[in-house]
Amino acid sequence: MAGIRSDIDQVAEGIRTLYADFPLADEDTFCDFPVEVSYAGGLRRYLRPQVIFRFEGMQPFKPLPGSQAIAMLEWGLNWVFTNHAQHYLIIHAAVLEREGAGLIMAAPPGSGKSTLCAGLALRGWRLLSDELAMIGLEDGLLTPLPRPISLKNSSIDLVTGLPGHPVIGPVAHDTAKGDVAHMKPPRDSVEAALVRVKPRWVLFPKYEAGSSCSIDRMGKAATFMGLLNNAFNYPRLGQTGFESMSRLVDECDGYTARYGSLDQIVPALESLCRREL
Amino acid sequence: MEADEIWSIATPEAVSLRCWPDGCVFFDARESRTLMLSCAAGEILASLRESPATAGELCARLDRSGLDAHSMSDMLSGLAEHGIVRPLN
Repeated sequence: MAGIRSDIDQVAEGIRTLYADFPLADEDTFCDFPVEVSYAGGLRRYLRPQVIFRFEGMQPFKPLPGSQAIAMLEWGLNWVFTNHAQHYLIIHAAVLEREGAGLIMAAPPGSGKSTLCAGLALRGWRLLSDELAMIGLEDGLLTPLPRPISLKNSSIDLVTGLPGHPVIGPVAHDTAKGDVAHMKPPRDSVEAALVRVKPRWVLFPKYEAGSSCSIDRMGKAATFMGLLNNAFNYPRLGQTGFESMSRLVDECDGYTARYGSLDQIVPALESLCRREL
Repeated sequence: MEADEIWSIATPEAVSLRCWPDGCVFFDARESRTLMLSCAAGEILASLRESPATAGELCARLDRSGLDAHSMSDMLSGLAEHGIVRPLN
């Protein structure tokens, strides 16, 4: 459970829009991750406001322009979960579920992972996470963290125009990643946030403008190394991380996908997953 | 390399190995190092985990791998360069 403290209107608006379906705890409830996004002090607050992110007294990032407050909150929460949930193997990946089977889409930034994740979530796949695959070290199950889906630049308009009534939060302009906005997670996904999932597929997607669509099977050793390249805390977990990753690879079929549009990859992926269920 | 040199995994207590049809993943907990190796290299390491051996003994143990003594020696030298195996004597 995260507790968010802020005096910034954009953060309030963003939470109201993007987290509308999340349950609210009362003030006495223990909070695992107390975070704060607030204006930096001094004259800057009035001239060219900046915002800072804090977690338990730490300030892990440099201040950002005030207009990027909601993006900073999301990035900060990613940082908090990545660095303080060491009872999971954590991989930089979008995670979705269909008919009880988990799809892990691991890829570096710029691969089109979040856009594809939004496209699938709007077609009824359950969203577990847009950013973090959290694999239980004890049981190998995927723990959902259905927070908003981060969209960048042209993906914002693309996803806004998709069927399924996407709700998009405030746009932060000119961030280090360009323009950034977030899509509200589907209500069904939020309501199922405590239902963990057995992983079934690992996909390494790569969007390339103008590319045709191909999905190719990967060997398990190559899948292991691909996941390793996207893992946040694998080195820290040592032997446990190796065993957890091995089990994940044993349980999943691995694929690479190259595609030029959502119209290509979404039906191809759905067809493949249907065949294997 | 001498023909009767006996080879062992450098840090057997720290090593884990998983082999699949497309290759093997080697993990050294001491150095927090993970490498993808060929299936043949994986078979050699799996055999050396059972007990140290010379190149000739490994050829005999891994009869189906198709490696002759010369190729086996090359493989062992390559693994030694990466600090994965070492001669015992």
